[in-house]
Amino acid sequence: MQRVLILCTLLFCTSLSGCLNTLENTVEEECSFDYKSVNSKTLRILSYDILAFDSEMIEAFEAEFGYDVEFIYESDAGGILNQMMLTKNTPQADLAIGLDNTYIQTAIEFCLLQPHNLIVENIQSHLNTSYDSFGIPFDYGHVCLNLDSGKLVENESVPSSLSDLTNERWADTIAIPSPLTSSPGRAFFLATIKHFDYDINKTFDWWTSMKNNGVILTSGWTEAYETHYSGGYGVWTEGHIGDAAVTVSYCHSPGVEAYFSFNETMSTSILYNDTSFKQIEYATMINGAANTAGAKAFITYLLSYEVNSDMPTSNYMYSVLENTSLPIEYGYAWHSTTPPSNSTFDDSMLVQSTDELLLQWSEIMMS
Amino acid sequence: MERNYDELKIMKNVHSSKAQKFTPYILLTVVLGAFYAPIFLALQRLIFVSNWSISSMFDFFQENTLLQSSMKFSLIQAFFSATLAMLIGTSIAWHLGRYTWRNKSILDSFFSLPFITPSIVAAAGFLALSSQHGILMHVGIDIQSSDSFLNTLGNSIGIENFGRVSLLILAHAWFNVSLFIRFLEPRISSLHPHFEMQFHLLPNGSKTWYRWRTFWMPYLGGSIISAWLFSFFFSFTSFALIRWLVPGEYTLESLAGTFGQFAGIQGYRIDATRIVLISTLVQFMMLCIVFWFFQKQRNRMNHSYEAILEREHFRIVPQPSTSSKFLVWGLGLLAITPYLSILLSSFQIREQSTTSEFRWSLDAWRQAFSNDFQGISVLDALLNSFVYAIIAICIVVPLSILVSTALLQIEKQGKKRIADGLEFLFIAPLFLSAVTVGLGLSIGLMSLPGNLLQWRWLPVLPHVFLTFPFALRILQPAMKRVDEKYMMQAKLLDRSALSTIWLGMGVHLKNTVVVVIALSFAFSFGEFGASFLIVRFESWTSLSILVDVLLSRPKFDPIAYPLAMVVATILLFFTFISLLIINTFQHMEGEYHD
Amino acid sequence: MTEIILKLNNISKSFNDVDIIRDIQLEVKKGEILGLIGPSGCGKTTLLQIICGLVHPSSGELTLDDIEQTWGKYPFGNMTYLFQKPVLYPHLDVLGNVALGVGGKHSKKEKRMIAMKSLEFTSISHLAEREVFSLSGGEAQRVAFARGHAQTNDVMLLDEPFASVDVEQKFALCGEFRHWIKELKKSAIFVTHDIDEAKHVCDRIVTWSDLQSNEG
Repeated sequence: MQRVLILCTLLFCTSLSGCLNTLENTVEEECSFDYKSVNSKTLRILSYDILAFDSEMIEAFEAEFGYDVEFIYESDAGGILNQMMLTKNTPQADLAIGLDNTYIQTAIEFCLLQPHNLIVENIQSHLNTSYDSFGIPFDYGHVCLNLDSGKLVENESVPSSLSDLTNERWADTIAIPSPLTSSPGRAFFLATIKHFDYDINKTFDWWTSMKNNGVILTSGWTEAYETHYSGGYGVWTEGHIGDAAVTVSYCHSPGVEAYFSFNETMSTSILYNDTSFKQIEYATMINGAANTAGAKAFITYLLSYEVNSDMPTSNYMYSVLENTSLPIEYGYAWHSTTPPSNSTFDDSMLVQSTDELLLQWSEIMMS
Repeated sequence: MERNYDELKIMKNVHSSKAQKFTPYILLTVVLGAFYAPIFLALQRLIFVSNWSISSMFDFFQENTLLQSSMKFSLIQAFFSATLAMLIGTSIAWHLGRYTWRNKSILDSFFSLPFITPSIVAAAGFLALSSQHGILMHVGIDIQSSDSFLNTLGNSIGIENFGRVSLLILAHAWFNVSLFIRFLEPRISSLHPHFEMQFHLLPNGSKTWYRWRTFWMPYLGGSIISAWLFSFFFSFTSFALIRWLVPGEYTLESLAGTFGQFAGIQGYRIDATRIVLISTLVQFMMLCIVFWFFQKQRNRMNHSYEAILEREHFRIVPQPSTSSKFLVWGLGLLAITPYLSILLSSFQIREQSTTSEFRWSLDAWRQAFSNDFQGISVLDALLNSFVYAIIAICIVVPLSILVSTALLQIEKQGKKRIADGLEFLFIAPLFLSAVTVGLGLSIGLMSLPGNLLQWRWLPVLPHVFLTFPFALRILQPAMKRVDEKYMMQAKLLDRSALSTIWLGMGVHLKNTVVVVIALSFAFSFGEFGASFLIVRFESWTSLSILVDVLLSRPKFDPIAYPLAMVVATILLFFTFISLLIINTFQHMEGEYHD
Repeated sequence: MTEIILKLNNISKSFNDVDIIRDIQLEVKKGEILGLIGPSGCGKTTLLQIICGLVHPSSGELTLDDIEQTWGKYPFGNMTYLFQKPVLYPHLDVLGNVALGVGGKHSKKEKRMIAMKSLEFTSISHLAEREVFSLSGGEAQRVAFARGHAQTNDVMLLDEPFASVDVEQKFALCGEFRHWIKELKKSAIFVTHDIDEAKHVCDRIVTWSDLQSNEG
């Protein structure tokens, strides 16, 4: 028994010493792109559960282009990035769909993507970014705060600034997806930085005040919106708590609510002028992808008018193509809000990387 | 020099007996290494990436309120869950053991089904039970509204969402009641009647409290502690129920599960790696401490009543009283309400997205069998679940037989303490939890050469990992109980090697092996926590993962929730079949031993 | 005239319409050791259990020291019973088992002191701290007797107490038991199927067939 324990202790300590470690540093100065062109009929797509990718849509692609599509699912954009990081040397997929503009820069820095060399026309010009050679946008939306207007008392006005939300009036009634585990949460975090003119100290002061005011941090958007938010469809679903009058969602979420409830909604977007974030989701080719031809075919298909113009009703996000708009039925467009164009986030204003900022955020919020 | 023939024969016997002596050690080392290697690889990767010293870990833990609150919540909910299970389970076991029951097999099924129910199905069941048109609401128990009695009570004592926390504790207790029944009922029902008769004849023997304190508690105490320990562990490492019943609360396990997907990447999301590392280590340490403490108490109470008077399996016992029947049948029917809720919910579809009014419809069932979800159909997911379970059985059953045999051989060599220590190491994965195993496998396998993450049968590994300790815990005592003389006699008959093994051991273990197969099937079929973290090719999706996927979908579509219930019902159906098999063969074998 | 301490009047017991015991009349004098012999399975154990109140008779009366006993949920609590296989509790050592027989309001320490005296009486005080499963059959039965000594009841019921004792110890035990019962001035009913045992231990022997035909 003694020898067994000694042996186990030795093994354990050996593992703790790290001397068995064979990790490589994943950050590189200059990327080398592993272009392949395997003649394969299988296209592997790394994504999250994108509602637009229903069986009808996928089967149509397979029929038209002759590929068999296989998905690898992660929980969200962050999960997609992590999966690519972990399997950098042995890519599991050809195409990554769902990385957004809060994650794609990291993916590029870690040489996880390769240039797609595709030219896609008819994309709205305001969606052009420095990531264009690596990612093609396929949908977008503006992350902002939503308020259940039914919770306002008589003559009470809507909060006019982020500072209002730190008042006792809103104590314990704001649910925000954690930027550590949620991409809308991450987008909102960046939106708060923009709100405070990229002053990190002021930004963290605000978050500290929110913590002291009982902000409800959730692991993801679904939990914040469906479980806690009292102004959305979550009210009618199982497991609803309804203790949050304000949450982080999209500026067009009230429009989606109205669309599903025959033009009725209590939800409204607030503070979108200077506390919103234009979240753009990309289709990207993974560095070392085997089936680049198939990947390009899928991107082309995804950006076709037939598929992409339906984004507002198939994926509840904006289409990236020109001459498309939100449906007017049931008040979808009417209840949706579009922030002014000068509210776009400027990456160059950040001194530290998003992940470094999030590390500081976690130290503040979890202490 | 020519050796004497006799000398050669002696040397051969000496060498072969030496080989026989070391074979079990070699086998066990190889198997242990295969089990623990991914965990060690994952651990060292997490430590390396986190770039921490031991003192930094302590500092981080002391400053991180999320970790502290997770640990506190893990402890509190596990403690109350296990204690509630103890109160209910001991009471049921008492009545089941003291009386003769008609239709006892039905009662046994009611109480043992929860234990092998997949955790995601249990989560779906309790969600359905507590929903707006659920059974709890119909009887006036509202756990959702902030102004309900439970939540108001909780607010007054400083516990948020007390209704949901109560539901979680109830769900865990529901899961683990069967442990108490399995551990206690056989002891109660087969106790030699003279022990009780003699006690009644002693001074104060007619006083109930005295009998409980001086006789029943010493007799049952060891088993109660064992069952409580297991209940505590299972509640502590629960994942699916925490995820769905108390969103917003974290246990160490669910924290590791949530951040696990971000962990282990050098130079990125160090915070996630640190959180996962700390929560995993703290969880493991806490479970070891609890185990050590309670095991000492249990060993103190482990007395061999059979050494005094043999158990009686065929004593005449009275029929239960009306109050006993009411209690036991009542609790039995309550135990199946989550299942009824799942089934009913699969037929209830909201009229539209903004109302709680619903209609009865087969639409969800039709859609389940005609549509794909994330590119996989229900039938494909069902097939995957079956295949994984069958492959897991093909690995777990022979492996557990080999390991049990090896442990027995070591015991026969007189090295009982080594055998016990090795057995503990094989059972220890029970302390590691499904999420840790899944993390270990996904991070650990990445450290190995080759593209193992694309290996089609990768999802089977966590099933093997998690099912094997249960198989060993059932098989090992059964093998110990087989009298050696059967093997001795079999060897003396002129038969083939296989026939000898069958006669000497196999024929006495066949029912146990069937129980192990059925139990392994049930656990593997519904496995969720580890599968949640393994790379998820759509074609690998199992039924339990599909339930989680469907539950995670935005529910503005009224059919989303009933669809999840349909899949949960299918999963439940096959779990029930496994249970029937387990119960049938377990009664042939005898009681379950702790 | 020696008083009657125990009197059975028309005790009968049937089970599933089968008469196991039929109209038994029995008297036991104070200080008397009465032997009851009969074949295995005839109902001797059932009779003993009726006498101590563990089992209810179908009909009949029982008086102990001229007080009529009423059968209830629990035994009468005023008689010592030794089972065929000594019933000792493994969670207690020998001293603890004997202490279980000490009634009245005593502290734990006092109970153990009284129990020790009982062990000394039966000459097995050296076994006080032994685990009960390590005892031989004879030692275990001595411990059971010591517990009976601690109980201070006037009547002892011995149900084939030497059945699980090996032959070498049996007759030594027979003599010891008789000596101890006499020294304590207790009355006893000694059930056995072995006439030699009965002759060694008892003052008077009754056969089961005699009892059933009312010649007890």
